[in-house]
Amino acid sequence: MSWQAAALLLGGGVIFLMALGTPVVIAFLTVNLIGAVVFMGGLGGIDQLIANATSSITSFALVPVPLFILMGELLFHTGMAVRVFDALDKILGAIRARLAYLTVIGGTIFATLSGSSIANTAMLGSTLMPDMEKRGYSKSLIMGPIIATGSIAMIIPPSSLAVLLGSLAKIDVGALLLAGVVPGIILSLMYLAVIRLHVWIDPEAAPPVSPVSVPTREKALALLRDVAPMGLVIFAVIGLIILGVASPTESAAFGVLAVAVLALIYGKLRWKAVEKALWGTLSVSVMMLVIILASATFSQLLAFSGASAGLVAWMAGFELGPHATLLAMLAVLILLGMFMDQLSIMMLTLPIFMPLIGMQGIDPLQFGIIMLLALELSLATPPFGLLLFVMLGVAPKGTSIWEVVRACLPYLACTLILILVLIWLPGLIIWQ
Amino acid sequence: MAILGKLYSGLIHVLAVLAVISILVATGLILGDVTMRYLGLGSIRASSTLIEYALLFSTMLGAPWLMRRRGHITVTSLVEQLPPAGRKAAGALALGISTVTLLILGWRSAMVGYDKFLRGGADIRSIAVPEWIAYGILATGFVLMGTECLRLILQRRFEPHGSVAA
Amino acid sequence: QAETTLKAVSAFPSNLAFAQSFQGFVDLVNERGKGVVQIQMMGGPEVFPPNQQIDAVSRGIVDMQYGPATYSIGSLPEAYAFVGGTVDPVETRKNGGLDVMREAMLEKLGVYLLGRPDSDIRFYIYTTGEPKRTGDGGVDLSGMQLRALPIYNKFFESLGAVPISVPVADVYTGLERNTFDGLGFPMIGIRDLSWDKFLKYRIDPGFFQGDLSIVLNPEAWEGLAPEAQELLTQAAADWEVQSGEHFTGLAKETEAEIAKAGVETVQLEGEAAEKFLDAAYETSWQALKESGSPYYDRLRETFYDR
Ligand code: NA
Ligand code: NA
Repeated sequence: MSWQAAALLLGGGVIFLMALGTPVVIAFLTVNLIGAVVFMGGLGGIDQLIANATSSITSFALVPVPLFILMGELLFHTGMAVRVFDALDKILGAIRARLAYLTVIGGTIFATLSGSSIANTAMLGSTLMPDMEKRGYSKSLIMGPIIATGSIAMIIPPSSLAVLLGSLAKIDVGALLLAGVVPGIILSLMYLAVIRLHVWIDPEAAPPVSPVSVPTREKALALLRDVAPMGLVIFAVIGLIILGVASPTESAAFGVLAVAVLALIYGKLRWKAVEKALWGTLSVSVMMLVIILASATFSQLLAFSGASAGLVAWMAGFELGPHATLLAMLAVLILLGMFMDQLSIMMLTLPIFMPLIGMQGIDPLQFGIIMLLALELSLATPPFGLLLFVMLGVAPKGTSIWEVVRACLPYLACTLILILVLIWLPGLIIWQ
Repeated sequence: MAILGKLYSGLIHVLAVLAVISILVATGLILGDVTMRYLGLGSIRASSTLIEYALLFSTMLGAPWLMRRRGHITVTSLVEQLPPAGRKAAGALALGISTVTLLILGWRSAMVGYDKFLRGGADIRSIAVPEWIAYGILATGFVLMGTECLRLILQRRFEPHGSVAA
Repeated sequence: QAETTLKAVSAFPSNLAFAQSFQGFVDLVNERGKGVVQIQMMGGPEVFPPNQQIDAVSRGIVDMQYGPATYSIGSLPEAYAFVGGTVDPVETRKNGGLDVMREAMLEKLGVYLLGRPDSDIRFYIYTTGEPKRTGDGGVDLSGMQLRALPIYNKFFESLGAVPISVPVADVYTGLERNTFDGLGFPMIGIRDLSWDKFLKYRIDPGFFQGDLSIVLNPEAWEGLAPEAQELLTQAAADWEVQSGEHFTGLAKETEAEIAKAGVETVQLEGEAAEKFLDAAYETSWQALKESGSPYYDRLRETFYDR
């Protein structure tokens, strides 16, 4: 079978089954099954596929996935996340569109604690959305910043997706995590600018505020009591890595411990909250890991059938320069990102992209950050965008998916601009 | 029959509880291992292997439960454009394919696992783990995911469905 | 008789020295075997996880595999004779050692052992801090935590070190941040992962021997024309010699390079060196003996001459 036919059978099969409404993991498993019979031969092929699957997921590198999710769920369900917002709210005082700014600032801080965009968006949405609605903010000024900032969680460390990307693409995980800090902060500054622009163009989007002055003492108290202790969580995750106590993979467990200890001190470690956090963790981590299991074997099949090697040779045959190669990859990622989840996209493209990166002499770290940003975009692009659905889950009844998409557009543009800057001027953002 | 149904539902739930426990055990093992290493007490030899297997346990034992909650990521946006009859047909087809795939995978996992059990090989990591265990867990997860799909077919619940939120 | 094509996989990504060595063997066969037998490379770990490749050969999904035999040590304790061996491949072809191992691999793994190239490889202990010395000139690694593969565990413990298991992806950061104190690794390849940046000491002598093997699916092997079988056997024997020379040279080069990069050599001399090596090799043979392998005596006789 030619590589084009193999690629069509495997890639087309997955897309067809997904479009049919088959759960993504089963779409992969079904195509794996067919592919194993066609390319590896009969029952032996299926058995091999299963053997490969056992190896794909019993990998220490995947440990942070459930742990970072557990950390975010605990922060959310114990109500500690809300406390941080209440405190920051007090500190910011009387500024127009205050809560929108707060979304970005608080969400960025939360991003340094949580590695999961889903958790971050759900947290921001469920804590801030009701309040903003009550105060008469326009829907677009509510939902845009929430989704945009929610997705920063996977750019700024800790990030389970960056860990996955690093280990799958054989990019130094520690370096990739650190390289995400500056782009993450730039993005969050851009988002603040977008909000400022938004209320400048359309002042009606945010209601005027009557200045309520909070005494400086009370501000300081709130900062000290509700925000500063979160430093413990940051230290547990990032500090222990820097001190050499724990590896990047291990530090996630200390993040969980730190959150639990803080919750205990605040008297919030109730069984109900813990139970909710645990079931939430199981649900999200199974959702992700089971797709890793299925799509890892999918990409092995893609390699065995000769499809990925053929595609690489074909793309390499155009002899695009490094910039054009990155642009072509970006286009592929955006296209796939409309239909697929991030993990599947990584599994599908990395075996093809990494050799090209090597061939073109592109800095893997530069590519890694661009890939992460492009994956961040995919979370909010229709028709399949996880964060769009998360948002719909917490938005008032009658909100359509297109309203959510429209709200996101200016923020997506920010990410796109940042990617283009990274393609041409990586030195501005990545210092090594 | 009703008792069997209850037992079956109970099994799905118990496995999910085990899956949650696996995640907690993994967390605890990392904390213990790092602390011991930091104090210069060495390291828990078994921990890295147990943690790696905990990932497989939590994923495959939690998967049937997530299937029951219809929480696996599913793209419903396209079939939702179809008229009701088309939607139902697509849903039935998707469920049929899912059932067949999962049951075949469950069957083969069990067969490979049985073969590994007879041969008695081990997966050597920081400690040795009998090879059949991984296959046994896969078989359990795949078969129960398959029966969950079958259950939806028998109940004629063809509407495509899938949670995407946390 | 028509030309037969064998599908092959390797346990290493194609940019590593070992994978390139296997490519050398593939090229040799493809050149000599025109019209008789050809090898088609299907890929490396991206095609099958390395620890599942032997099963893929025994199932007949691919015909040939190249990789470390110790990856299968859970089913083939006899692989300890590879690492714990001291006799070179040319000799084990003559003295029957290769046949014993072939018998063991066929029984335990269901694959046919064609040859064992790249055997002239030594493993070294690298540390970030200076190892303590004992009164008799040996090393005392007590208190050191060394990243180890299962095959080193017993040996490291005998030196007082604590073997810990660290995934490859975490080794770099771990060394950078001093999460552990060193590791065991062959001379060749230590630079590929930039680990030498943090490793300051290398304990000499090196221990063990390479455990790389080329195996075939038994039916595929039986199905080959006698001429093709002969050609492959001869090519494997020749490649064992050629690759051995190549790796000996490469090891010398690497040794000079890392010394220049500032990795200090902790040289054990005379009796202390012998004691160090005894401990290394004996742990392997001990492990094989404890497994109750019926091949123990014959393997010890043919693979070990210290
Ligand atoms: Na983060
Ligand atoms: Na999308």
